[in-house]
Amino acid sequence: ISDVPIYEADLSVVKKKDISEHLSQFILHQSLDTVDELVWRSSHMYLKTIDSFNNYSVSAYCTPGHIKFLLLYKNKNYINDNLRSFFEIVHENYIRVLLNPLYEPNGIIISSLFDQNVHLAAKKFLHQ
Amino acid sequence: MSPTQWDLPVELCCRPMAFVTLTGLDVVYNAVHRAVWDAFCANRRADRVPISFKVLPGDHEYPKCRPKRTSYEWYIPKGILKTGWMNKHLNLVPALVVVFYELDWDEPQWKEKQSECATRVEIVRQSLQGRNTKVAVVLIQKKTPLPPGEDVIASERAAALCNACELSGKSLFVLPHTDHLVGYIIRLENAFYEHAQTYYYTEIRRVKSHKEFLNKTTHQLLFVRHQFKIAFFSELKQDTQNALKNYRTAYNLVHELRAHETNILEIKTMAGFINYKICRLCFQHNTPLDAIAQFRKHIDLCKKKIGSAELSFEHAAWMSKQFQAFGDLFDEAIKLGLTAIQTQNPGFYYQQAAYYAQERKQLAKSLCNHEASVMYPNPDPLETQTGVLDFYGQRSWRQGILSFDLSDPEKEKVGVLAIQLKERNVAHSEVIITLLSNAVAQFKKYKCPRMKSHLMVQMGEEYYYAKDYTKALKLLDYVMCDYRSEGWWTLLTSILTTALKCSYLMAQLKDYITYSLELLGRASTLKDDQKSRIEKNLINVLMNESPDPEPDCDIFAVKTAQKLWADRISLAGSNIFTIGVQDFVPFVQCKAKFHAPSFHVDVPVEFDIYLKADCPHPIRFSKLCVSFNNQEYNQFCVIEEASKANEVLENLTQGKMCLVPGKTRKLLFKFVAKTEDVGKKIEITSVDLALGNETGRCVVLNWQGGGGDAASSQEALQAARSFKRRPKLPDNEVHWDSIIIQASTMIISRVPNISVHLRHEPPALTNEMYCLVVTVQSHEKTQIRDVKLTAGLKPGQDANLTQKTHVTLHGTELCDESYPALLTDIPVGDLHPGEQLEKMLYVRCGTVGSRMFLVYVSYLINTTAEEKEIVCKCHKDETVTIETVFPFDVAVKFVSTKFEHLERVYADIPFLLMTDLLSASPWALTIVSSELQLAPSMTTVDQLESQVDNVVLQTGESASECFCLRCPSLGNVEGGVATGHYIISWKRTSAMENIPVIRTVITLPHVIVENIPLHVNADLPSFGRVRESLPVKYHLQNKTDFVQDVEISVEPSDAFMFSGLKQIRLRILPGTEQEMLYNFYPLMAGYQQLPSLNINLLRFPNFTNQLLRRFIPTSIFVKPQGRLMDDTSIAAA
Repeated sequence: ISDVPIYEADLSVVKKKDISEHLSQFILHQSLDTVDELVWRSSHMYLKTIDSFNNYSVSAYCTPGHIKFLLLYKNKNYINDNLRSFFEIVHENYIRVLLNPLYEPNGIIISSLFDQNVHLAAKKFLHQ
Repeated sequence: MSPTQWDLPVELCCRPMAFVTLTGLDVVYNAVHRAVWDAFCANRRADRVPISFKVLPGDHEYPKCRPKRTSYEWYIPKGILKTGWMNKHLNLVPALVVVFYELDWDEPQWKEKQSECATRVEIVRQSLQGRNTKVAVVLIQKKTPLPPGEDVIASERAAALCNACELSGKSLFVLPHTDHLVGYIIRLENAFYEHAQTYYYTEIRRVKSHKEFLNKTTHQLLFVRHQFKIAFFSELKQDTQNALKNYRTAYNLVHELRAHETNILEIKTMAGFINYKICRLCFQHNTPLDAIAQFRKHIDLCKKKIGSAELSFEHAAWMSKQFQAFGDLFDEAIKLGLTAIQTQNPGFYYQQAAYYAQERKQLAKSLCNHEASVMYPNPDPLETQTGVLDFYGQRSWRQGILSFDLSDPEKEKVGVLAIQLKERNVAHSEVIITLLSNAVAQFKKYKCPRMKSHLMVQMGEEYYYAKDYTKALKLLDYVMCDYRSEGWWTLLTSILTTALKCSYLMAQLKDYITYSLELLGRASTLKDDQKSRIEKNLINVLMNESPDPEPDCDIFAVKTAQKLWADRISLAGSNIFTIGVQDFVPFVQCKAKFHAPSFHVDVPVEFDIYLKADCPHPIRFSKLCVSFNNQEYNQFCVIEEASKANEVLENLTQGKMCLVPGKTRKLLFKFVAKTEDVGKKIEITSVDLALGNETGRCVVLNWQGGGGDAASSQEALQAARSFKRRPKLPDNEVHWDSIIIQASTMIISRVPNISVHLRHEPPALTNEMYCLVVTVQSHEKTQIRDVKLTAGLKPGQDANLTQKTHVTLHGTELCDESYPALLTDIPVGDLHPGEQLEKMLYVRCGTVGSRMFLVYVSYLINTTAEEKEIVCKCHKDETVTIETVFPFDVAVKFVSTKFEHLERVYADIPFLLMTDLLSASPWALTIVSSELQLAPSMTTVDQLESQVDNVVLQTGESASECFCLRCPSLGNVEGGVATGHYIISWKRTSAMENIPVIRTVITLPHVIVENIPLHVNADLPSFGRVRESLPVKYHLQNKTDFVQDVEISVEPSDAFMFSGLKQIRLRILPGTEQEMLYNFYPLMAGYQQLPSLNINLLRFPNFTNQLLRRFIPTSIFVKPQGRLMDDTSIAAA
């Protein structure tokens, strides 16, 4: 079964949101259609901004093992390089998770180190 | 405010075509005119020129042309574009008026007719005063015209008519009413089209000429208006490139206008119109990317131009319409052949349109929440005198007022109120749903399943808001399984929450229960307090009470729902709901597991049902029953609350019927399988768990097979892959994930307690009656009955083996083809404990190779299982592989009487047949007898007696025989002559007396027979003695039908002296024999070469001495000269 979420994180600094959790998931879920399409057309892992929904944009990254990273953000014009760097760091950390023999592939990622590193990467590349 | 207020006007959306009116046609009463008109309108395909025709009476009043303005200095425009302008030029003001008139060139009353025609033209000209509209005259004639120039009268009269009507020659046409009407019409309309183009060209020039009078301060609106008109006229002229150029300029000019709250709607309306035209033309020019770019620019520019905050819903409505219109254009272009892609298709625009429609609804909800007492203003400020607005996008209560200050704030307030009150009546949900379903259709087409799902969720929610709960549920139900199968639990929970509300509001019991079950389950991401509330409601429902309303529901809807629920309670009957769980994730999980993959029939079948509840509070179930593929077992596997028959359950105490959240509950069942089910599979087909009871309401959760729901297969996979160590639990508890469903088991027969032994002496010999001794001994405690033996070739081997293998119980007679390969169910009788029986079996194998033999013993025994008397059928089988080999090898050779090997035999000359029988059997063989059956072509020289009777051969030993035969001359036989058969009768030496003898027939090889012309044989003693005369007689037989000339010579030898003819030439007559007598006198002892006889046949040069040597001896043993006294002893030796 494909595209089961295995890790979710709220990276926003502002805690007040104008979007409910399930709406944000709906946007991410529907953007997978576009990812599925673009993945075969692009030779890069970073797929840039693939979808937008009203004020929200979705950027995506797909690893060679077809693990997809999706980032939903609002009204921000991130520099592509920053987004790419962010995703690359997440990818690197994901590989570390995979190397852990106790991690079940495609299982929910519960590693706190991974979570911490994702937040650090977000702070470095997305919250400037 | 009509709901279509935001729709684009029809005249904007259509394709502008040159407008030409036809006068003087009486299409009602005149058949000729009717035909002409039909030819103009019918079959207007793409290859005809784009003209829209209209039939009008000759005296039709065209819209009046306003007097030409000489100066714009004092003119202040009141708006951008008049609402009637486009329609006027599309449908009211023609580019060309055609006057049809019936007139032939040879008309006798020419003068009168000519002036009547001129009058008609004059009338038309009158009503078109001030316009540049062209006028043309078409003469409908009965006669076919002559070629131009030949009809002098015609050209004269034509010139006169033109003169009278003040027409140029180019505007006078003749339409002969003949067979080729359509052809003439097409030529006519092409000419009309040219006139129309000229007309629109001059119109464009005219509008352009106004430009120079305009100034930027007061005439800003006119810049837009003129530019729009030029573009529109270009379109009428079918000059789409220039039209597009001019529309683009107009679009830029619109955005240069000074915008204010009072005129923002007008600006947006016009911008929307022009944008629509631009996008439309771009698609028409097959430059869809330009269209998309223009549309994006348009949206970016207009997005922020909201205008009055009190009427912000109007902006949303306008935005929605923009997206929808673009979506429609895009879709239309696709229908005309444009290809769209997944990431760029009309669906996105419909989706965006739906989004703005939703926003409009939100804004309308907050802005139009007036008290019910607020009345709609009277007089209606939205009414105008004419019923329509003068200019597009203006407010009806202040039309044509350009000032940005509100001259009458009170009037403005009333106007806004009127709009708000009207907005309140708009069926927003309907609009949203239509747009969403448009988008869904597009996303379906472009394979975006998830987009489609999301939009369907939105549609479902919209139906929910629109209080159409049935449709809402239908849609939500449809997409639920997608999210469930992809494991997006947050989304599933969100949808389920809405679905639960719908089912509550409709008091749909089954749906309500189903959604509650899933919202309480492990797939739900609801907080515990929510789950508690839902569980409480579910328990209420099961107790036949009303549940509490779901939060955030419409108050009125809740009131209705409560009534419905009250009705449901009072309604009796149909209170049991069976819910199949395989399609969703309920809060009770179930797994069934047989203790073993197979059970012997004499032990009880045992299995566990594991149950686990995920809800926040403990829940009782009232009944659990398990169904099997054999329904007779169902009765043994039921637990009921009231049931006292608890024997089947171990440790069943009070509270076993209660499921504690998070704890795995194990229930053990056992039953005795039926003996008929031996060899069959027992399968759990379903597990039913009843919640609630039949007095209240009862929900039966039905698991197909051994449990598992929509999410469990994936969980099982994860659990199987997991390396994770699970924390230790108390002994009687198990980890849920570690339980693997085992929903079926095999019933196998009771373990036999007998021994079966086979005794035999392998290998088997071909065709012998091979003896296999079967010994069966019972080790059972009681008597066994009905012992049956099945023995023989194991089925399933090579089919040829079945043909060549025969089994019998009687070894005294040889089996033939009629005997079977497998003997089945030979009754053997009963056996007491410890008793043993022996059965002999004879197998005859016709071919060599290995065979598998099966010995299968079955019997019946009475036994008890769980204090139940059962008759068990047990069986034991043994297989053995037996190799079959040839008992002996037979070699046959032909030799001459001198024991020399013969390639061929000579007719009529005796030769020897030697047989050599080499035993290949590991066991001793007795050759009972042998027999040579000669073929008719062979004759024997002496008696054919067996020389090997009753010979016993051990392994590797051989027995030989020799027969002297002769083959009469047969002439030349191709491939040789058959010799006959050699038949050996034999048996194992160890075999019993009564075992029949086996006859093995060996076919002897063919032999090549050759005729020879001369046969020579010699008569001589077996030995000679030194210095004693040795008489030798040679017989020479002529075997041919000719007289033979023979040269004979004898060569001397050192060992002999001889007397007789040394060299002679003689003749032998056919069939006769010549004798040659010699007396040899040996000189030396030992094995000595005889003087050689050389024969030369003149007729047969092939007859060589070499051949001759075969028949006559070449040497002889010569004994030394003995002493006389020894003579007798030598003779005795």
